[in-house]
Amino acid sequence: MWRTVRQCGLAIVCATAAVCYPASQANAIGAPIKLADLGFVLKLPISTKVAFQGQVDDASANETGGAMLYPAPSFIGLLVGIATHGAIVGAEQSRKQSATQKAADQVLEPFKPVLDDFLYSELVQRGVSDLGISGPVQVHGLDQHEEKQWVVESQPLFILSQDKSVLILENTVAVYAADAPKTQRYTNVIKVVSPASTDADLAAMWSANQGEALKQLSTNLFTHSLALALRELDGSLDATQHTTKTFRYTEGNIKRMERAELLLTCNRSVVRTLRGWLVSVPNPTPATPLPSVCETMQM
Amino acid sequence: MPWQDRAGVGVCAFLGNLKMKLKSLWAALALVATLAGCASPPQAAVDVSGDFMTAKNAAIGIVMTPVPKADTQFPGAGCLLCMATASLANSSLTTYVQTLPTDDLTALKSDFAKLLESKGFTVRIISEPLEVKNLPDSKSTTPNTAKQDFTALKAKYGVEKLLVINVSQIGVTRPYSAYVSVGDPKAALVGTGYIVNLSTNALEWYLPVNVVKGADHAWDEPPKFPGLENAYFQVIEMGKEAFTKPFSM
Repeated sequence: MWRTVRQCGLAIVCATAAVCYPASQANAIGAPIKLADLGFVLKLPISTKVAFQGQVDDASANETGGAMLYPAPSFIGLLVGIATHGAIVGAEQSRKQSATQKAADQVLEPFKPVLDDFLYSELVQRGVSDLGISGPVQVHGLDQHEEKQWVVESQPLFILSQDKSVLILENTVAVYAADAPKTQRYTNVIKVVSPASTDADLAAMWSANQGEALKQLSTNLFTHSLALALRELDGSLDATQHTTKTFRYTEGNIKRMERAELLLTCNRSVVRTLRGWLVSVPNPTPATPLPSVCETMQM
Repeated sequence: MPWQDRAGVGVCAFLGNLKMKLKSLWAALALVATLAGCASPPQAAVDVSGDFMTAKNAAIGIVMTPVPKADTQFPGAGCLLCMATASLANSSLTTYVQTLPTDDLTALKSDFAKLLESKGFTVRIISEPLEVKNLPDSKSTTPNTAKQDFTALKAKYGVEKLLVINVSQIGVTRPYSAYVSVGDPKAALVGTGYIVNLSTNALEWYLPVNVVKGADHAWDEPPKFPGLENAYFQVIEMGKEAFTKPFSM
């Protein structure tokens, strides 16, 4: 079941699996802010393990139950019967969702030793220098920092496809002034889909050398997502076509379609979905690069 | 009362009861006979035959039946009060779904036209929608014959065969068990695609299409339900693929 909570000044919607996304279209931007020049404090749960999940096909059936007869000697009895039926169905759906995610997480089992040692501190230390911005970035909990004006809070979740060929990042990003943490200046989810790996033995490839390939790809996705968030915040992401159409891409062996506006296209396409989220996917065929646009799109 | 009178009363009561039961039985039998007469087995799928793919001299018309407006359905909410409860509980969803466009579906005619022309067929797109229910009933009992008589359309459209795209339901469906929802709402598209030989009224292709897709992540995000709206456009694309797949191979 989904519930709405307020956490760290963010109005977010949380599933029982504790994965949190901003409430739909809660990404008001207002006047542009060039954090790439100003710099900011980057805030993540530094000392905890990087969150990974196995990919679930969200549209898999979640129906339970069938026709129902209510033994109802009275109207009150009927209401009680309906409420009981509803509670049973709700509990069953929750149980099924948890069981589905648990089954999907089995794809991560071969990489458990690597993932158990992969902390957010390592993710950030690997990636901050690759952001390619001029302003200083200080990491909350790692750097002895001065109080920067702006805080970028990030909650990345990495999802491995069931065929292990694709890694997907869903990074929930919030930006607020350091002296006004409950007033969000920007909130959004940036989803980045990696190119598909074609190695013959993907489990071995991701595990080799203490998971170096998996960690580096995670870092690349993370810095790319932050770069997109900064570009949206500084107003440089505009819909090129101002029309909404259905885009197609793949996540491993799952074909996805997304109704969205095209924002950027280069070696990757960046679109804004109906929820206002940003999605960056590899193009099926390489486009002619436009240097000024593609510099930030390298992965 | 003398025993003869009591016996008489008992016999009358018995005969009265029997008469009522016989009346009910006849009424039930009459109802069953009526329903059996109306019911007919649903049309099974008919694959595109090799003969169809090789007979490319026959011009094919492509037409769509009127596309319904997007709406919500609550299968399983069978009783009147159940339907009212379901409608009330999902009123904001229904209000939004009814605003969703169906324009993308009309591209099916041109999608089919491109596919068939690429395989060497002569194709004519019929712009006005076809009201199949206004056609006369077919009297044929031969299997794989259209239930309506399409033969008059041969002269009207100037084609030998007619490819009909029928979308009977588009929108969002949410399953119910009486008063209680037993699943999340999902986008759904239901329809049929078929080719009628306008000389013989025979079905040369028949495909039922039923596509369902749930929202990614949460669905309950009023007032615009972006997850479900995204799923809605996905089922339109998936439905278009399902219709055209037999001719893509």
